[in-house]
Amino acid sequence: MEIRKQDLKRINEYLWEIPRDFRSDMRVPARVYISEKMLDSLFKDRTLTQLVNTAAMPGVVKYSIVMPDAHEGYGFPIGGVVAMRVDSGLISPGGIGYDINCGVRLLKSSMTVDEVKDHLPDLVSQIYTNVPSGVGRGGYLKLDKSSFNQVMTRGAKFMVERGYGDGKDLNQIESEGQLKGANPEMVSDTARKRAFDQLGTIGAGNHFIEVQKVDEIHTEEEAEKLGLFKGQVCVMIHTGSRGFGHQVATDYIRKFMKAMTKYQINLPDRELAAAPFSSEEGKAYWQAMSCGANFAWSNRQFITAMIRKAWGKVLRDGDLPIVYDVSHNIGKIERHLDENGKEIDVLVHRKGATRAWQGQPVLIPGSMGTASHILVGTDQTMEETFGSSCHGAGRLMSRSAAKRQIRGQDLKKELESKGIIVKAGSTSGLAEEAPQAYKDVDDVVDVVHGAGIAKKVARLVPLAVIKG
Amino acid sequence: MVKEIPKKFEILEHTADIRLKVFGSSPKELFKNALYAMGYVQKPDIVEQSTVGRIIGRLRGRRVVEEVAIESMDYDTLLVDFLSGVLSYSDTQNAVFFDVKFKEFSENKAEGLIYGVKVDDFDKDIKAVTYHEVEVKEIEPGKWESTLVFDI
Repeated sequence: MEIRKQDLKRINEYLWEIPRDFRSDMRVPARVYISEKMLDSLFKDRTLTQLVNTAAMPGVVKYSIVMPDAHEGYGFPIGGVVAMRVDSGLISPGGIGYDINCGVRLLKSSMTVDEVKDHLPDLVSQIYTNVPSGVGRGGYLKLDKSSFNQVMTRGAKFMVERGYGDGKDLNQIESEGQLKGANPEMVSDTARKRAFDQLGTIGAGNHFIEVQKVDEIHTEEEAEKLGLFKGQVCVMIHTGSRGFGHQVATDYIRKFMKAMTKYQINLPDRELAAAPFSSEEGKAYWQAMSCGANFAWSNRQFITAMIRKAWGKVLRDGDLPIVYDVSHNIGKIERHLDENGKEIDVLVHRKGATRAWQGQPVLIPGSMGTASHILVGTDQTMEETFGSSCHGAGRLMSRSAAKRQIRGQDLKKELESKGIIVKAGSTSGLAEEAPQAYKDVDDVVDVVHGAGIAKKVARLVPLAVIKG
Repeated sequence: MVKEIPKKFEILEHTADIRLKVFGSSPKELFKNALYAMGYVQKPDIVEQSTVGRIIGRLRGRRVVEEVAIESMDYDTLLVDFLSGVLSYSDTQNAVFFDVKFKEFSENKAEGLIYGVKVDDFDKDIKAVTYHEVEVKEIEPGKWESTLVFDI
């Protein structure tokens, strides 16, 4: 059933709702955070149909949500937040995504752009050497079986114990860089094989490392708390659980196909594949997914160590504390209010959405060459969005359309003319990630700020981009 | 008269991922073409110049042959599970696969040898083969097709 503009009821300036009676299988309404200006972008693909599909899942609480950076995914929309009852709801690997715990980490230096400027080309080369990017370039950390089990069960904590960081790092990571329910026995040999040489690599696609400068401070008080100041040089990392997480998700979506028949779950799209959270299959996936999440945190922790090493070598100053590390593809058990205002345990699926608890930093990377934003969660996120906010700019244009319109070489030149250093493995891959292919991240952030589901703190702009 | 070569696949629009339509005169051929399409997305230039009998120039000696045996519920899930199996090999072997010779092929089982070439890198990192919109169907006698969405 096609969704038209008039099917959306406006609740306030930045919030629309598709009522429960829009489609007979909906169990809850579906909510959309967006501005009038951006609204049309949602009708260009199947985002809203996919959102309505998630509102039809058994056990869904209150409403399913998409953020302003939403776009069509497969099964769940990207930019989606769907909370399920822990006691009677479902868990869906597709609602978490193949790149389990894909996320963003920001490191801050104590130096200004003027101090770093002349060393920037060397710094970029050194980071590029220390942190393999692209597909097929292996990492430098190879672990034996028992160490790898520790990566899966203890995440960033294990990496810190191995000397790749210090204890203070863990306080600045969502869930302290470890999901405690992890059980390596639930992970296939194939997933382990794929992980073998991928720790410490960023991969390809929209993943990157950027050297950035703080360009604008919106809230002095909050910025000060996070140790951010205008002109400061920072490093942002965007990557996830690589082939390991992809395999865990693939394995379980396959298993859940059968589980759907077993538990007689009928959903509008196979890729929504889900099983009761309390079932054997549901628990097994939760334990394996937690291994994937821990792998990703280990990955970002090891990459951090490699960036610090590069920084130390080039700038004789290796101290790059973590501002924060957030996941934007993950499932979390949290306590939130249900439709009756009662506090219950829910499993929050965040697929292309960021946890944004009150006072917690929220990191929103822009598309390549554009600004990134630091926000902070509010009490309103706890009431309205299961403690969640947006995760990025959000794609607008397909990869093939972007390649037809933009040449990688031209884009590289354009960025370089703005003084941005670009180090990329593939120039055609570069074109696909062109800023024109994305929504304007400033618009996206204005919506979540305006809606009160995260407050703007600072804006960062890139000095150098490293991509696969 | 030049005989028209039937199209193996075409690329459709998708906002963030890769959506394809794959074709074949039978389910078996559709599976073979889907494997080719996946390799093509990963590394078009290498896949275009590779055939089982002939791997040319600098690719000589980099041939990879693996065995796959996948069982599943129906053609739709079998197609995805088969390609996911190939993708796992692709990642662990750093190889792109371009052809398959089936020893056994039915609605529930695909078993055979897949042929590929080792590569230094990939043009595109396919994270996963999704079940989204997959429907292996005969649109007219002797013409099969399915949509496929790769997570990128």
